[in-house]
Amino acid sequence: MEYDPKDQEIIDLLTKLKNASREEYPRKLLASRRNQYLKHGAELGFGIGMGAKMMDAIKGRNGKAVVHSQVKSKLLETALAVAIVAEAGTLAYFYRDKIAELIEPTPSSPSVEEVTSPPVISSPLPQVTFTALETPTPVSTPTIILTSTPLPEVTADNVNNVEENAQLTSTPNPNDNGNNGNHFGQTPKPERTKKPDKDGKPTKTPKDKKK
Amino acid sequence: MKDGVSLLKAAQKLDEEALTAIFDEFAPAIYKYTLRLCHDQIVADNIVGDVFAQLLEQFAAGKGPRTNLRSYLYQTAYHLVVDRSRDNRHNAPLEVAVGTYEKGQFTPTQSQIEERVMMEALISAMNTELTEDQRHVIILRFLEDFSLKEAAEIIGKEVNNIKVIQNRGIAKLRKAMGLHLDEDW
Repeated sequence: MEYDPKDQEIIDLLTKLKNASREEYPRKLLASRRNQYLKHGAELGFGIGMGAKMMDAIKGRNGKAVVHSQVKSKLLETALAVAIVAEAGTLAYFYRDKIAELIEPTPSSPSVEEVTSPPVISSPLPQVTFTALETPTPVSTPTIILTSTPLPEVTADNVNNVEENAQLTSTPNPNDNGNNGNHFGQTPKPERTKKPDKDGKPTKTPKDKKK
Repeated sequence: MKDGVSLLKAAQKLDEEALTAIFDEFAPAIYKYTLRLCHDQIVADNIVGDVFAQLLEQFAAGKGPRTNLRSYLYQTAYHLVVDRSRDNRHNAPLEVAVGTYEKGQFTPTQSQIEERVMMEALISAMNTELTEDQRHVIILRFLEDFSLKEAAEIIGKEVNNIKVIQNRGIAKLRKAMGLHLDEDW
């Protein structure tokens, strides 16, 4: 690409700067970074490689590989079975007492057992008989005829009785007789009665009234 | 040695030889590029590690680049640098990236001294005068030799936009270097 001649000077200087730059990647840093990168790649690549090999084994592309994998799987299976048996044996050894308790009957437990027969239900179940009942169909409802209630009649005798009842005597006005209703001094004085002793003497006066 | 396409195909199948070849070819370049952007050797090394780890994971998942591996690696590195710069802003000068420029054992000649002065002025101008985008485009185009299209892919912008950014960046550098002072940008 060609540039404007007036810019060429700057571009030349920039090119010189590019070539002059000697700042390199420090070797130690580069080597360390490279190792890290390859390790990371190996981790990812290893996974992919295993996957591909497994796919090949499943598809049976390589006969030798299949036979090889079968032998490996049998060995692995046997090893697993042995490991399981060994583990079970060890556990049985550790818990032998508990296992023995479970298997043998305990002596402390009661030897006689009461067995009660289950209750017999004597009463028979109520039999439900279903009979077809014919419900009578309503024929007709009687009509109710409303009659008027008789009103009480007012007779002449009744009127006279009312007048007689109105002539009842009322309490007299006290002022009419010169009696204002007060009865001062009219109350009779109660008589003092003293019960005599056994000897015929009057009873002793109380201590507080001796003086 | 496998060519680019066959190397990429072998790498997609996680072929160890192909993966090693890719690392050996691109790791130093990615390191330099990252160092130019972030100015920190440790960060640059970490980003190289992340770039290649992501590449492996993409290949393992049946994804990853199909054609332009180089652009893909630079693009990944750029995104990682941007992500890190959001967390931790580094503004170290570009001299770190240039590093051992002209630190030879011999005594420099007059022309070499002049050239060095010019280079330092250029680096200073890149650090102070250019915007982030302009600096990145200049680095991709002139220090990493990417085409406009590739640079556009890496940055994630249109080709025309990249062209404009590049031209403005060059003009700013020119002005800063005292060349063609009549230009007004």
